[in-house]
Amino acid sequence: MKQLLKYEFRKTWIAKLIVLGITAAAEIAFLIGVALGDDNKTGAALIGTSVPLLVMIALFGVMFIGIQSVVVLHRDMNTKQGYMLYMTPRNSYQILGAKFLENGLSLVLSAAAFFLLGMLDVTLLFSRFGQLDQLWEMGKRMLEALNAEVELNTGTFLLLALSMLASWLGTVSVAYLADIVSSALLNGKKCNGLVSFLFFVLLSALMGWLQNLLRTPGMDFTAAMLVQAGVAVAYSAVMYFLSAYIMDHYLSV
Amino acid sequence: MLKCENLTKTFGSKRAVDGVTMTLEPGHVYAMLGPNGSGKTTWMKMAAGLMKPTSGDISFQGSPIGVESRSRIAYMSTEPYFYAWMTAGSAGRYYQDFFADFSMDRYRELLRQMDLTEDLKTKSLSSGMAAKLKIALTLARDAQVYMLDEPFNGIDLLARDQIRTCILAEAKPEKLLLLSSHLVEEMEAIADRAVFIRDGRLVEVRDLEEMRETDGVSMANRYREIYGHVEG
Amino acid sequence: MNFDPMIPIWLQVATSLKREIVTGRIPPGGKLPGGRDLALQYGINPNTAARIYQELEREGVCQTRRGLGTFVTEDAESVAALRRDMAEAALLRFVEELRGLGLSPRDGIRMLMKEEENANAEM
Repeated sequence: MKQLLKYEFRKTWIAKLIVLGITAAAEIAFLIGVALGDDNKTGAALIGTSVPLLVMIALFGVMFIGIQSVVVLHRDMNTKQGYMLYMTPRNSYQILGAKFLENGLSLVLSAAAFFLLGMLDVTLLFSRFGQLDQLWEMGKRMLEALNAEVELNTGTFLLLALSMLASWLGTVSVAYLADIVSSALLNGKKCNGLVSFLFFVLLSALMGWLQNLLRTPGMDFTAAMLVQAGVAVAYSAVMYFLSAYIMDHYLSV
Repeated sequence: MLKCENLTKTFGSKRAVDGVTMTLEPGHVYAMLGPNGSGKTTWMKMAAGLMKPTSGDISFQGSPIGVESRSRIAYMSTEPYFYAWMTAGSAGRYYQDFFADFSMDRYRELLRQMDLTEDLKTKSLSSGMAAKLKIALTLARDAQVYMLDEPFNGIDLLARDQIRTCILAEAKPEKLLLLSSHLVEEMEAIADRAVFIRDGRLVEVRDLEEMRETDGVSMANRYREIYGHVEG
Repeated sequence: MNFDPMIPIWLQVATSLKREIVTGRIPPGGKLPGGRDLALQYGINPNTAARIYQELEREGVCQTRRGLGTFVTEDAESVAALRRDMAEAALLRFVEELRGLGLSPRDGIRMLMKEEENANAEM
């Protein structure tokens, strides 16, 4: 398992390097902006562009890492490099397990890294300029959009991030399953792409529906977010076993 | 050792392997013969566990092909299959990470014999070098079965002798070697049995020396007899 | 060694080994390579190599001593007999070839004598 994980990391690290590179560039721009100060024209412009950019990178970076892992899985099932993986004396549960674990770990670690970086930057902004009205307003509006009547603080933000991350993990797991169904069961059939895409949409919708179903109206924010995350993680586990079963019985590379 | 019964693999409406029943025994070097598209590669991929049969059974020492058989069967595909970032050295470490029967020393020895170095990038290898690298990796395993799909492909005349010697060094009473090649002459002396496959079906498994003695024909002669009218 | 793939390989290697023996390149009582080494040396299947020693042993050309290896017979008479047999076979092939060309054995003798004269003249 250790070896499988090692090579899964090896296969995805270039994608991670790209995210890291872009983040570093935006962060440097931000730091220069902060150093120059917001009464300086360039400084204000740098802060003004780098802050929304960093928020975007954090969101899309985590998404990109998830998508990249689906791409790697797809390549492992549909190109010759798959021989390298499937000729090893490891079963489908281990092979897929390594992929789930690698992806999960990468998502959690990158989310944590972005969170820490965000905290640092916010603290920096606060200590430098004393007020962060705009940022706070933005966060509040996000929460309002989610219909949650809670006060925005680090705790609620963490919960929200956790639930979003778990849901994304669930979505990536659904994508894994859809891709495995496409490669193992529908390979060479007509409408393979369309059917597996619809399958993906349907299963993603089912996860959302389950999350809504179990999040009763009376629940407070913490409980609701935990239920969201819990459902997504459980759903991922189901996707994992289904995927590995199909891979084990039907996949030809 | 390797046994299949009614083994069939279809791709859409094409029957790539069609009801093949045979048993391959240790202590022999089999030449698997047939024109392109006759089902040799598909049969090997099923034996390697890369492809799942559509119907029928295939087993190694009595157990279905799976994780256990993959640790004992060394398979080399025709196509290069390395990850783009690999060098000859890291490909060796990959094998060492996954196959308990892989010997790094033997691998280095084979690389040396084939004039390859560990720093070579797999992506930029010529087809002949890539072919040699695949052979070195596969033969550096101390497996019970070696299945080499087209081991002489892309390898020049001089290096073929070398490859033959490396392959012969693994031919031992407890091991089974299965080689496919359209370069039939290359295998006349090293193989002792031939598996003839046509259109996914098994034609026959023959002992080569016996065939030469009783019928006075070579493997290449028999090949022409079986496929001559197909290929023209 | 290049093989004729239509003739059993064991026969070709066995003949080659016999030639080594009758010419003394492998002396009487000399050790022959092990089966695996023979296979590698000639680039042939190990089962074919094993068959070669079986046949040579059957013909009394060599003996396998358990745990020690295979040795050429020490009996000089056996080696001489082998040489005679091989020479006879060569002669028969020669005569057969001549007949195929419409020549008699007597023509062959004449040609051989001429050949010898030429060789002597050159020396």
